[in-house]
Amino acid sequence: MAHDFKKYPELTNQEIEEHMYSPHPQITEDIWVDVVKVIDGDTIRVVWEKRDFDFPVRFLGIDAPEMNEGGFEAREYLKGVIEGEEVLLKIDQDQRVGKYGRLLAKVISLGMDVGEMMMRLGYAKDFDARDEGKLKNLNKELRMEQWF
Amino acid sequence: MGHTGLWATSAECIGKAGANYNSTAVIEARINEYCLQAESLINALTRYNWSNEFTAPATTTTLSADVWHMLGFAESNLVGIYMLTYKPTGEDDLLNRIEFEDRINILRDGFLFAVSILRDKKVQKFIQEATI
Repeated sequence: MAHDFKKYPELTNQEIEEHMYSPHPQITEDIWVDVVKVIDGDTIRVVWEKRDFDFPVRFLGIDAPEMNEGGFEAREYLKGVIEGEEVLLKIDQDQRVGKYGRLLAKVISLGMDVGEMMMRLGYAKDFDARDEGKLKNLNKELRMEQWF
Repeated sequence: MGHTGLWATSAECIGKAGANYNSTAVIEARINEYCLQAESLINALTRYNWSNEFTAPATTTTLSADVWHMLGFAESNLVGIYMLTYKPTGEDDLLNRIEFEDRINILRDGFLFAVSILRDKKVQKFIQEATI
């Protein structure tokens, strides 16, 4: 099946290694971009000089609540801090692309890690601690079809 | 020499550095330099010229005292770090490494927390509009 580059502009590391064709340059190192829109507390849309379209970036290492889980405040904070601003995207070579084919990156604004700022103020959690305080899915834990 | 920092007094900065910082070398003039540098940095980081709201001497401002001391909090935390780092072993070598690092970490955390808040446009508006 052909890759939908409009929906998923990023290739995975494996796809790049396999020399899969891409109609636009892939992002494999740190770049400066302009933030055009804040989608929620951990996702933004940006424009980059080497691409003629805007694309999504998910913050690496943090997890902000979804909009239907009270993520409004986080989004508003992020809007005030980086919307319309130029930011540096720091790429982790081993975690370039996440779920839904989105680019993953640390977002640096005026020398400060915006993800860390979000966590410091309680708008987001460390990604590895996102399930803390939540009840475990016992069906999944016990690998049962149906238990509870 | 009089204190020239606008948001935090020398006493506040000394309080943040804590006991046994090197007071022989870190004199009033040096604290003044650190304060002015810290104020410039915070103005740039928050993209708002808070210093414009103040007239020397310190604490003469159009902002409400209920809110503007947060600027002094951020400033004194940063200045405290540099007062300590001038000589990490402190006055007469009375500071040990662990205590020095603990203080730096606490001050750094406070500074970053304050700047993270001050960069919020809503907070900036709140501080500017708070009633005197």
